[in-house]
Amino acid sequence: MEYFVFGRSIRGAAHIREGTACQDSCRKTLRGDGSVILAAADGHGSKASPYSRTGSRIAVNVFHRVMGSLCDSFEGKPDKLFSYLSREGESTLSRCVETEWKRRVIKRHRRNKRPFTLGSRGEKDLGALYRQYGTTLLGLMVTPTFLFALQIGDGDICCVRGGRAEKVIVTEKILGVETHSLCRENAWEKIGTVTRRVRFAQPTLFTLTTDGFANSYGSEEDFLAAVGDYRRILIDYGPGPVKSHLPVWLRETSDMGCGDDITMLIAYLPGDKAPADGID
Amino acid sequence: MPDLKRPGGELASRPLHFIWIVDCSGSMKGEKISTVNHAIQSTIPEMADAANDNPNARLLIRTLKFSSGANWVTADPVPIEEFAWDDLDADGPTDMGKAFEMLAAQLTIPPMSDRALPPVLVLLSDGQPTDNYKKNLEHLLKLPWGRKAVRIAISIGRDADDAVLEQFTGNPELVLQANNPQALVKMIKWASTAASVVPSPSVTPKQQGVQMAVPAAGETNGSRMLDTKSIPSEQKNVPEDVW
Repeated sequence: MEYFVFGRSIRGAAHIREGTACQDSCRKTLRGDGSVILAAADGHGSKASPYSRTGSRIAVNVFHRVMGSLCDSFEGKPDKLFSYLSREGESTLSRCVETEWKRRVIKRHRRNKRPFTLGSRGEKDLGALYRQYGTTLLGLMVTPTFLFALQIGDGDICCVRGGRAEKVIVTEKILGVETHSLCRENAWEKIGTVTRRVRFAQPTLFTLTTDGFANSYGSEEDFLAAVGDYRRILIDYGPGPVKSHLPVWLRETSDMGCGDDITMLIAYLPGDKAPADGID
Repeated sequence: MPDLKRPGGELASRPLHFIWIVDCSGSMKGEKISTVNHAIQSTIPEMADAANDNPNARLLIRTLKFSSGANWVTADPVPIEEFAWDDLDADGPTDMGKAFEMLAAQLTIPPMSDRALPPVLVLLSDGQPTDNYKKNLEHLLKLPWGRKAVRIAISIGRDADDAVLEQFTGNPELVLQANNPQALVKMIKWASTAASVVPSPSVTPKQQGVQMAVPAAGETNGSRMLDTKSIPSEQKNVPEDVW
């Protein structure tokens, strides 16, 4: 199966004005078994989360590590991997993501010799520690036969078939500037997952975008139309020009939109002679 | 390599609704309402400057006055660059409950967008509600945008019902005391700078006044975005200046 996978994180217009760093991270992996793993994360960037850029970097690495390990464990057994993810995605796997993220946050904090906040009885306040690295996480694995998506917090994972974009996961929307986060106690309970068999229409586009992208459009309809338009331009011009223009397009989106950091990851399957019909 | 136009349609900044809710009852007549008029008028240039510093948030202003019933001064929210203050008069009872009812109607989705920034609501009052306000206030605070709003109250004079104002803000520290004209001007000015804080909760605003204290993750009360340590302290008053 042929994939074109690329993406970019850009610093938001508001952050450029104020001299703060981009809090988004992203990562992509093409595996030898014909599957692709994508992850994007948006650090909170608030005063209570001064290391959230590190937190978002840890989050995308954790997703890749967890999914990569699972794929290795179930190598040659995609149906068993599908069953496992369907059964354990929102429980065991989600707990694993949260636990591993928090373990790595503590390790990084210690390695940088940063102080721990102490509670009223002098114990380490791990909640306060995790908040300093707070982040969302969007993850997607696409194989030749199924997809697995995972999300905590804002942002969007979309698929475009037949010119219409739709969200792969529909999560609880919190109004305003707040979001669910990996830093919270029992964060795994707020992680949503989807495991679905797929047959690919020609061509198929998956996007992972942090919330700065959707928030730069006036409505959900406008946002989904924009994602659909990315597929159109991939079909018309191919992935090369889209990849080279993407930084400029995301820059313009942030400048004239909501001003936030924006990450867009794209997995584009131009398709071959496979039967049509899109995602089941 | 072809030069390609950005995919997708029109981009949009996020709306930020700022609403003055002004008690225009009879007890506000005279110096109180004239000070309110003057103070709010004077905040407009600074609010416009702050909005220019953040072009990614679209600041929209509205005023809701209440005495006998309640009325919106403008039919729709007005962009800050077009906003002009029309002096308010004072007469009649204090139908604060009606004001809450009308506010709630505007904070539902729609007409509010779910992509908006948390609205800022500033309630100014010098007395006690004369209508049945409780049910309407409860309804307002149950709405998603009612809960998420940054809610500030300015208690004008010693006869104001601070208990009601605290119910509105959900935080006693955000009931600002103004017992003389100078204090009222300061409190109105402080409240107006909340509009510059909401769009960028990760960033400390450049101007003096409001500073950010970021809420814990998952905090639901928008008012906790404000740092109450930066509220101006009430002046020591000479007796003739106290309302």
